[in-house]
Order: sequence, then C-alpha cells, then structure tokens
Amino acid sequence: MKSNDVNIIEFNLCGQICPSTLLVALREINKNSASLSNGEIKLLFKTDNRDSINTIPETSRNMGFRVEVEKRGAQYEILVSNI
Amino acid sequence: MTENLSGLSEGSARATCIEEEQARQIEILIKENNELRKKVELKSIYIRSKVNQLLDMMGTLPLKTEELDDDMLVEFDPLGIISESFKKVLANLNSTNTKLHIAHKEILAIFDAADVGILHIDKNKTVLSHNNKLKELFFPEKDEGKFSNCTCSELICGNNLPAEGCSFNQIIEGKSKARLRHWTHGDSIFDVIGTPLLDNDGQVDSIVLVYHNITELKKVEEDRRENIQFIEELLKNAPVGIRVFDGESGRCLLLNHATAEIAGGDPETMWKQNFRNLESWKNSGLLKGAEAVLADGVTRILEVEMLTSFGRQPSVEYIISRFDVHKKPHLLVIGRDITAEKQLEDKSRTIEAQMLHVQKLESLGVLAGGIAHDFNNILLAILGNAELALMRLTTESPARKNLHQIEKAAQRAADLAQQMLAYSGRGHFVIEELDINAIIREMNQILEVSVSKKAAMRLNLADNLPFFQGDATQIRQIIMNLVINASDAIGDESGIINVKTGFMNCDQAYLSKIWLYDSLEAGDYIFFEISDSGCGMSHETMAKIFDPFFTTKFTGRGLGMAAVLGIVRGHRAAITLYSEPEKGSCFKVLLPATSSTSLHSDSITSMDKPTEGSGFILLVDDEEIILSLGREMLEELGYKVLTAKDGVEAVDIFTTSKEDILCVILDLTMPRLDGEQTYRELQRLDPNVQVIISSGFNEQEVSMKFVGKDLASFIQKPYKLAELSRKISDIHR
Repeated sequence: MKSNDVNIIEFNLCGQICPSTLLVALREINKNSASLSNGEIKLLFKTDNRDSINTIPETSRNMGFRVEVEKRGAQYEILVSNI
Repeated sequence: MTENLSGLSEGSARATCIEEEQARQIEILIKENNELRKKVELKSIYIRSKVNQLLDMMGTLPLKTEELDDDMLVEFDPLGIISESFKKVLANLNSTNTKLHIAHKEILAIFDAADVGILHIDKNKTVLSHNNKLKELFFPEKDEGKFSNCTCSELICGNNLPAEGCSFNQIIEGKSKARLRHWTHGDSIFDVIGTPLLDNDGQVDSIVLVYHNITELKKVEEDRRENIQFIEELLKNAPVGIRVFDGESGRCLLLNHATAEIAGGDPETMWKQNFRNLESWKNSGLLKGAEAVLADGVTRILEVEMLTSFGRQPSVEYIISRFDVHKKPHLLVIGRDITAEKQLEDKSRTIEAQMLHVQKLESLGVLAGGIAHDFNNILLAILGNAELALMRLTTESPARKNLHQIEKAAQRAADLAQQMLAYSGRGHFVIEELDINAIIREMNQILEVSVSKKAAMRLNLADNLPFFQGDATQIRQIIMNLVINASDAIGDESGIINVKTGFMNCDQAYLSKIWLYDSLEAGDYIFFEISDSGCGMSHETMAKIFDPFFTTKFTGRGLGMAAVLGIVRGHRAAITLYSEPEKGSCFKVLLPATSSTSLHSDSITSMDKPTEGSGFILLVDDEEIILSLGREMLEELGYKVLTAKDGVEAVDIFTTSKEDILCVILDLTMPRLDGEQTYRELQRLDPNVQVIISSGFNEQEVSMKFVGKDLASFIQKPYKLAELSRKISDIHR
C-alpha cells in the first residue's frame, strides 16, 4: 500500500492477543526502524485486541515514533510513522 | 576344547562386562540427559520470567506457554525483541532529554531576556522563581536572599493589594488563565496575565504571572489619541475640503465636513463613494488628473467647474497629490471652493471693463466739452458781432444778407458744439418733469415721415407711467437718433420699428449688469425701448457704437450715438443694447422715475426783445474778444461797462467801485483766480453782490458748483443781445 509516496506495510494481527501482538509489532518496528525513521515507510497494524491499542502505541511512542489509532468496524488500525 | 570352553567362558565374561559397561554408560547418559533437560527447562523458565518481567514493565500480560512454547521461545527471541525495543526507547529518551535540556536553557534565556516581568509562584503564592525584569520592575534594590520564601503580595503588591483581595485567586479557584488590565503600581501601569500550571491530576500546582509594563504604551496611546483628536479637529475645522482615497481600489478613506459642503452632499453618502465611479470627476477632468498623479506622483493643481453628484455647480481649485502608506498609493485631494472668488473676479473684470469704458468716454467727453467751450466763446464773438452789426446797419444795406449768412452759419456751428456738449454730458439742459409717452406721441408723425417707407412704426406705450426729469429736446434727440438708426438698419427690406415704453423697479444687481452703467442708484425707472427687425450688429460693432466718430453709414459723422450716450449720462440714466446680426437690435433707455416738480425752465432760444438798462456792469472774461464784444453789447443796452481780464483784476475793481456796480457778468474759466474763486471773493466784499455766470459749459454743471451760494443767474455762451438783456433785467426785477 502506498500513500503519498510512502510505503505502508500492513500487518494483520487479528486473532492474536497481547503480548503476542506487542511482540510481533515490536519485532517489525525493530526490523524496519531505519526506514521508519527516515520516513520511507509506515507500519500499519490491524488488531482486534483492545489491550493492543494501548501497549503498541505507548511503546512505539516511547521509541520515538508517531502513532495514530483508528477504529474501523470491529478492528483497530494502528499506524506507526516517524514524527 | 577346554581351551575352547575356557575361551568361551572368557568370551562370555567379557561380553557380560561390556553389557554392564554399556548399561552403566546408558544410565549415566540418562542421568546426564535428565540433568540437561532440567537445566533447559530452568533456562526456559528463566527466559520466560525475564520476558514476563519486561512485558510487565511495558504494561502488558505475561507470555503464556501455549502462546509460545519453549522451543519457539528461543526461536522467536522475545528477549531480543524487547531489548532491541528498549534500546530504542532509551535512545529516544536520551534524545528527548537532550531536547528538554536545550529547551530548558532556551526557556531560561527567554525568561531572563523577556521585556516583561515573570513570576512563578506556588498555589500558596510563595515565590518559586522570577526573572531579572521582574526584579528590575518591582524591587531593584532588594537583596535576592531576603525575599526567599516570601509571598508575591509581600514582594510586589505590598500595601498596593486591592481591597477586594488578590485578583489572581480566581486562577486557583477557576484553574484558568486570568488577566488584570491597567493595574497601577506606583507611577507605572501594568497588564498582568496569570496562567496556572496543572499537575497530573489537573489541580493547580503553580502559577506563572507575567507583568507587562504598559506605562509608555499608555502614554504613546494617549499621545496618539490626542494627535488623532488634533487631526480630527483640524480636518473638521479646515476651511478647505480634504479627502483621501485608496489609490488602488478608489475607495474613500477619509473626508472632512468642508468636502461635503463643497459637493453639497451628506458625508455618509460620500464615504461610500469611489472616485473612479464619480461622473462629476469624469466630466470635469478631475479623474484624468487624479490618475496622472497616481501614475507619476507629481502633484497637480486643477481648477474645475463641476456638477457634483448632489447637483451643486461650484468652481473648485483642487490640489491632488499622492502619498504611500505601506507601499500602497493613496490619493490626497484638497479642494477649495472658489465659486465666490470666481464670481467676484468676473464682476471685477466687468467693472474694470466698464471703468475703462467710462474713463474713455470721460476723457473723450472732456475733450469734446473743452472744444465746445472754446467754440462757444468764438461763436459768441461771431454771433454777437453779427447781431451788433445788423443792429447798426440800415435795413437797405446789402451787407445785412451776408451778416445773416454769418449768423446762420455760426448758429449751425453752435448746434454742432451743442452736440459735442451733449456727448460730453455737459450739454445745455432744460430740466423739467416729462411724460415719455407724451413726447413719443408728439414725435410720432415726424418719426413716421423720417423712417423708410418700408419700415412700419409700432407704438406700444404703457399706461400711467410716472414722470421723469429731463430735457425734452435732448430726449427727443435720443428717440430721433435711435429711430433713424433703426430705419437705416432695416434698409430697403420690409421691417418693423417697435417703440415701447414701460416702468420697472431696478435693483442694484440688475443695474450692475447693464454695460453702460455708471453708478446708478436702485429704484423706480421708466424706460423706452426702440427695437427693429433690421440687419443687427456684430459684437465688434456693438463695442464701438457709442464711440465718437464711429459710424457704419456712408455719410455718417459718427456723433449720433455718441450724443445719445452723452445725453443718457447727463440724465443719470442708463442704456442697454441687445443685437444679433440679421435679426435686429433693441435699445432700451432707463430714466429715473420721479414725481417731484421741475427744477427750473430755461432756454437758449428765447428771442425776447432787448430792454434798455442803466448803471455799471462789471464784465469779467479772459478772452479779449469777449470783453470787447460784451462791452459793446452792454453799452448797446444802455449800461456802463467796467471790464476785467481775470478774477484778481475783477476783485480789485469791485473793491473800489462796488457801490456803483449793478451786477457782475463773470466768466467761469480764467487764469489766476477762476470764476468760482472770484465769486467767493466778491461775496466776501459784498454779500448781496449780483453775479451772472457766463460759460460755454451748461447751466446744470455750473449750478452744481454754486449750490447754496445765491448765484443770481447763468447765461450760456454764445448768447444773444436779447437774452443778455433779459438776464440782467430778471435779477433786478
């Protein structure tokens, strides 16, 4: 997925619960941190676990990233990008 | 075999040993394996506990075994993931700390550099910190150490605390920003803003107060307000219209009362005007000028006559200039209503032209009058001598015919002199109360035969006209001259000459518009008007028509209209002229109406017979020929004559012989002592002296010089013996 020349990489974490969702999200953030930091990509995590919309954004923000959370139907979309 | 058996038993024993050894080895291995399993299990437990410990730090649930078994625990490496994440969190915290540190330094710098006093107090109003400006503003002399832990009211307000308490209590109560405007402290005025800093529970933890010293600002504002008021008063009371437009949009930005007065409009409407849309500006050329000023910035002065949007038609002098505000062009329009000035200027121009004309006529009149005066002296000698000669000749003398011819020719010359005097306004006047209608009716017959046969005379005489005072002969001369001219203007074509009379009340404004106006007084006037349907006149002809010796006729002498003007002026009357080429002309003579009785009646043409007299008569004249002739004429009448060639001599003779002198015939114009001065001297010597003034000028002019001086009589040169006789007889009757 592309938006304004920035690649958005999606991860579907539906069906998983914390801390698995958090660990997967952190693993991907760590893996892509360079591209995230220079703004080449954004990571979009889809989850239906309510705890995840607190843990993923909080940890991501502590790591210095910008996080937007949006509810879409029964799911949540957590978009992680550089500040 | 034994060997074989022993060999077998040895072999069996060895085999048993091997099996035992193997069993022991297996047992060891199993033991070791169990130990190893136990260790691995412990490690997994350790890793899982550490992972869970870290996850707990992250605020989430521990890992469940079914989510991640021991094998996957190693493979997925949650510790690695979390530690890598923590590394990043740490890096981010370090970065944030650095930024915060820099921000803190920046805030401190701003805190101290700010031109406002900043005070940080806790919710109990104990001072936490302040900046240098605050100290400078409120306690420049105080030692920093002495006010630690004191409250802001102790530090700043002191006795200046408002009676109702601190204005910033509301910050603590309301948890919101508060502002205190125009707070006075000493000689200074402050705007104070208090902002609460909330703790994590949303409660007020401390307050930041910012003190902005607005004393100077207030003073500047006050000065500005005064300046604005000054400018507003200036604009309001300015005697000129001042208006400012936006040079780009054309919108009106400012106007004063005088502008509205010039336009004759209301300021509210004028505020909404755009100069580019004003018809009055387009039509008067003002718009073109304004655009040129905006284009090149050169100030222009324009004088325009315009019809304003409100229907007024003023003459206005505009000074248009450009000025820029924030690089945007503005149009300054200063207007001065010069309508009255222009009118005055036009009036002055007219008066100046009239004055010039009057002066020209005056000087020509003086010339003509002077010539006529001298002519009359000469003619007196001719006529008198001719008359004496005729008396002394026998009736059969052939010379009588020649003398009659001389008399006739001299009389014609005297008539010409009278016309010149008439032009000069010094003609011989026989003033009486006259009815203009009667004069015209009397003249009608002679007028009809005098005009062209193709010209139809029409009389249009108003009823019940008041009388006027004048000389009937001269009025007839005017009418005759104008009617003859009207007839000449009609020429060989058919046409109408209309003679009209009427009455009108003329105010000064009307009289001032009359071209041939000479300081007439407002009042009732009768008029006669002679108009024709003839060839009319050009402006050039009209301008010269009253000039002496100007004529459009082949045989004209050019004295007719000059004489008309002279008579009009002599009567203190006015004449107007309207003419258009090919359409005709109209002359209107205005005469002051009166109902008073006539002054007196006199005539040069009296032909009474001379009567004999006796006694001494003193004859005074600087002309030798007059003295000689006069002596002869008086002696002919039986008088004894004493002569004096000037006033001084006359006074000398009168001094010695006043008892014997019956009367004095005194010339008016003489060297040394003129007639007027001589008369005064004679009266001083004898208040009852009888003096007859003899002059080539008319009686009216002479009378004016001798008003209230008991002048006995006047005799105009040239005179005849009979008239001389009557005058002398009259004063002794």
